Amino acid sequence: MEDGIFNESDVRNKTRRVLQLMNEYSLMEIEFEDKEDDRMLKLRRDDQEASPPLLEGRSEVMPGQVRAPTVGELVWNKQNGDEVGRGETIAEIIKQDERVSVKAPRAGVLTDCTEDEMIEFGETIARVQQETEDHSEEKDQ
Amino acid sequence: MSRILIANRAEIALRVIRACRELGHETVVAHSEADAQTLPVRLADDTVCIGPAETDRSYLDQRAIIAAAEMSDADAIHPGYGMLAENASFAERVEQSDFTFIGPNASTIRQMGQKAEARAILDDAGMPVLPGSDGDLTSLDEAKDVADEIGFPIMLKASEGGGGRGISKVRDQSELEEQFERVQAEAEAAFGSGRIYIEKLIENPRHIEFQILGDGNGNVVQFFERECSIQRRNQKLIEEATSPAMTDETRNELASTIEEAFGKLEYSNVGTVEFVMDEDENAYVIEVNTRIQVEHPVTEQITGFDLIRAQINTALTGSLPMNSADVGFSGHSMEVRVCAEEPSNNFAPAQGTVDHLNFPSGPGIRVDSYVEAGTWISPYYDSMIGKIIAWDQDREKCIKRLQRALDETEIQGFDTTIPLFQWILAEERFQDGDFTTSYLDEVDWQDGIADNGSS
Repeated sequence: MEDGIFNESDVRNKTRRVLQLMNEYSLMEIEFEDKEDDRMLKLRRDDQEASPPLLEGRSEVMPGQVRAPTVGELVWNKQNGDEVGRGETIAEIIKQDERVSVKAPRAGVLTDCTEDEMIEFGETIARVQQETEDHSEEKDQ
Repeated sequence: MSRILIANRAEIALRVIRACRELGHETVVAHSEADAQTLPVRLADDTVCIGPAETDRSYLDQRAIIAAAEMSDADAIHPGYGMLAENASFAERVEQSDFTFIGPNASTIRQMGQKAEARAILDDAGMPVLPGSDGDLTSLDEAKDVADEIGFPIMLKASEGGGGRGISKVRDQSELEEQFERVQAEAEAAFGSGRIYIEKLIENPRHIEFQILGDGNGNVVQFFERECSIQRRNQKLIEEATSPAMTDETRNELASTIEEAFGKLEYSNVGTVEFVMDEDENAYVIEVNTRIQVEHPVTEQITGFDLIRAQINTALTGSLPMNSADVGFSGHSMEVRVCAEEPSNNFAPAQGTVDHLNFPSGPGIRVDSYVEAGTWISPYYDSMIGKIIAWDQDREKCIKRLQRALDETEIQGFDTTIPLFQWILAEERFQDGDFTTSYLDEVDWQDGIADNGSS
């Protein structure tokens, strides 16, 4: 970006990228503090379909994390170590007569399959690891 | 001691938790992800997250709620109000899954949910019903005959409607011809059934409702009436107990008629018998709500009974914790439903996080609310922030006390309906008890609150 000259498409692209980030992490608001210039900038969503503020204690969604899409009894079709494809059904959750599929969010190897039989909505029940990931960098879930 | 699962959210979930605590029962709250940080979820002994914010996938997901009850080893399920509280299939599912449903029987919920059928049942049991058709209308010709017999104006009502929905006013024969098919189609679209019936229209009635509690074996106790005439589009804004328009004579007569009729019907658990009342104190039953209601606190304040505890006890033991003779009333109580809405902007719902909150307290003031500073008022659920309830020795003192309480209340983050309540409580007709359900259309509250500005 040239000094002093306003590049409209540059601004648009970067703003779009910020909005994408906000969507990805379900953020309502971002605050920037510019210590050098002693300024504060706040970006806030104002749409009716907004999601709740990032809940305290709720960990970030890690790539490859498999979260339960509903509540009920968990029944596995796959197990730790299995190769799975993106969108493949890896388990089912049964609530009375209804069965809900749990699908792999991406291709890779299934790990950390929970042994819990009854699970709540949103609980992390497994991970799909990809070869390029360095395990030592992974945070606790 | 039992374990009770609460299949609801916000202030009613908190209300049920309080009653369970006082009775020594354990509590489990089945909640959506969006409510995970709310007060009732923090206070419950156990919690189960059953779905995302959208109610269809959480609070209305019957299987998810049963799954939650199984996971948490619950003995009983309390449905709260709204949500699945009056869903007969849900009540059945609960019973079939071997949990105690804290509410009326599934069959009663179903019967009272079909308004034309309910009307006939209530009539047979000895309740005063509005003149109208004998069940659902089979044709336009039948509708015309009934209308001629009882006289215009009439209402065409959807059998599966309720809560003020699915009602069309018809003033004469030609309007009836025009509207008949349209109303059937609308009913079909809104409630899944095009069955409609006729009732005489009482113009600008007062809305009076009696609280009841039954044991399912013929014993029914009534807890006197509430007046809920201050409404906007069939949404109640202010409720009070007792009605300023009802004499002791009418009250006692209705009370005994109700206990007898609902005893015959073997009514079980809580219910509210809704009436329209004309200016001559003639009251006609229009529907029965088979659940605990939002405005139950005003009845608790004047009678001294805890209705949630009573309904839990009745459901778990099969007997009423009191009888008729035990129930009296004292003083007057009034409740306002504080909502995050802008009255001057067509009650547009506000959304946001509560920045600062100071609810009133002191003598004779009760607040039923789950909201705290930091609570997120979301677009997914209703906009009610809380109920502020006053009790005092008579209606005049009660109004002054409620005014005092509203003046103390501080809610920052968005507009609320408090300025509207402040205007109404100071208005002459309201203070005189001179109002019907058309009150808000008749008084100039818009200018009134514009003059005062928001608080």
